[in-house]
Amino acid sequence: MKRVEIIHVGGITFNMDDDAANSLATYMEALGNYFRNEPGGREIIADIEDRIAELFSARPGGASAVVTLQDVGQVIDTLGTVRDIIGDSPDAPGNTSDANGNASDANGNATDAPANAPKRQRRRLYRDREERRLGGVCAGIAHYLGIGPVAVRLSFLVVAYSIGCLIIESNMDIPGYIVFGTLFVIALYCLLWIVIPAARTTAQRLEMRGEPVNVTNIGRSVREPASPSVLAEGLSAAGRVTRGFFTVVFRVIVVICGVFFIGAGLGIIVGSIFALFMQDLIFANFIDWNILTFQELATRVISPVPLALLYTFGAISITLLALACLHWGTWLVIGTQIITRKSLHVTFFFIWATATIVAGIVTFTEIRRNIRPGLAQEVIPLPRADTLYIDSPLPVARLDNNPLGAYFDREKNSFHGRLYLSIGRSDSVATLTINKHAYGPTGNLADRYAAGTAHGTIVGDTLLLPRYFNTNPPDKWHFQSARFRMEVPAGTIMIFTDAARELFGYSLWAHALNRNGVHGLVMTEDGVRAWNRDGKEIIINGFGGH
Amino acid sequence: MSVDNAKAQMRKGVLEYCTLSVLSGGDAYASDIISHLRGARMIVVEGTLYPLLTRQKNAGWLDYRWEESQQGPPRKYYSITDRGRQFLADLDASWQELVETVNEIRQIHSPNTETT
Repeated sequence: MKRVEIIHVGGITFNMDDDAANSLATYMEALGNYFRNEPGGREIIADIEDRIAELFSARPGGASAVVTLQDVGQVIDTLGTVRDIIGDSPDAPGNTSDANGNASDANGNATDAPANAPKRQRRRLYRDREERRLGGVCAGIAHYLGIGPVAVRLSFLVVAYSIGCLIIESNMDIPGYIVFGTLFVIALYCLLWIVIPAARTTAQRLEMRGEPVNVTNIGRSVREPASPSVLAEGLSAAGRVTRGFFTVVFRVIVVICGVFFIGAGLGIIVGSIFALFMQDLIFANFIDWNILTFQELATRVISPVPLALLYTFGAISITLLALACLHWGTWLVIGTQIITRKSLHVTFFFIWATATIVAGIVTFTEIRRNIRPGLAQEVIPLPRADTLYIDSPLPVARLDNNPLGAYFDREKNSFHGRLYLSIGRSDSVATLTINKHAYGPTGNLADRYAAGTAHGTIVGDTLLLPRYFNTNPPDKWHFQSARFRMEVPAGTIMIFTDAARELFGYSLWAHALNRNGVHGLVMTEDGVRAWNRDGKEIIINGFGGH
Repeated sequence: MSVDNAKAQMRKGVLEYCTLSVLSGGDAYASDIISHLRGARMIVVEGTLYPLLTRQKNAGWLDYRWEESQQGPPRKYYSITDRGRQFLADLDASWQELVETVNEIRQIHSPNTETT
């Protein structure tokens, strides 16, 4: 909705939008101030006013059409700003501004040397809704600092994310940092979105860009939508216009961000090359490489076609991301883009997006193959004996640094899952309960995968809990694992081999057992008691509760 | 000093001469003069001309009359006065002299430059 004012120009009545009327009034005032001291100044103003009326009347709609800001802008274009007129006139009083500074108000003649450029007005922080990606916060900050919006957006992400990660407790795990950092970026953006007002009127847009609010600029900004500001442009502009302390600080941040991006790009490239040739080193902490290589594990977990897709598109995605990081980084640091052709940017982006989406879909479907937990329970009766011997044949290699708790045994085409044993008291018979776990695309399939594993054999009064178990289907691993629960009546003695002791896993009391060289356990009415090889009883806190 | 600046300075010097020359060919109102000058790239914006015409009128070289317009306000038609013609003749003579001098200097001092 716009208010329309009735204005007399050159003896003719026009209906004008109020912003157009304001612009025109400002323009006429600027001209009046300039020509005031000149002989015949009033006549000049009158002539110009007549001409404006004539131009308004000559519009396609005639004199009766409402005069808009665009019309005023066109008129000012035709007649010229005060500065244009000064620059063009013979024996003009020169470029010095009068007391009201109107000559400097009439900023904007392209032929002016930068030295004569009028001092820019103080900028104000607004959100730029015309160049916005979300709420125009970054575009507004870019205008305020006189640099490119892309630089601000990238810097905002990096800086806000870093701040978000820095201010939270340091004992968080990596996903926690990522989530909190992301949330902080979003929260900070929303806060700025709310706090910073939007530049809604033309006057506010000019204030945002630091251009004086006068009719010349209003006309100009109406005619030519804001030119896409580039970092280089901003940097060179910054050389001319001192924007103060914060600009310097921000520029430093921009350069730091650029260095960060370059570092990230180089890191990705170097890391990927290392990963290609030195996977054994990089993944040594995750996989036991004497037994299984990274590719072997991948081929045992992921089907061939998705694996090929994942390798191909993952490589494309990572390579392009690395190159993009280098591109952004150099752009932020030196201010020029390596690749300037926009079509290339778009092409690369689409290739990257496609590769990433395909890799993501493959990953997602592969994750979905192992997303539902399944359980199968098996109860084996144990022989009625006073003493039970428990042994666990060791795997070929130890699994000290393998958090997955699994490896693939080439000869037996089977996976080893970490087994856990706990002990409880039974009121009647001795039993071994095996809770088998697995994951699959559905609960039913997961149950079947779990049931497909076989554990434990009993030979005489010896309980063999081997660490190998065959998987079903054997070609793909579904994170099978098992937990044993041995329940024996009071009075039963249990003798463990060294290998079997490891079945107790990494729990606190298991650690205590190993440290104290526990050889046997006896089940009593009060709980479990332990002794070592010399027959000395060992008190282990918390043992009975297990 | 940039070329643009130099051109602007030269234009300033001869603009008065040009308006008088245009008006010596017949009466005209401001927009006519403007379109002539603009066609010859003598001015960039119309606003330049109004103060110039007023000054020339005040100097007695021009006169004007009001004429009704079919659209818009009445128009100011300028015509050149006898004094103006006299002044224009003087300017013609000086211009001729100036051009000859400039050409002479150019031929002497820049032998590599072809003059037309």
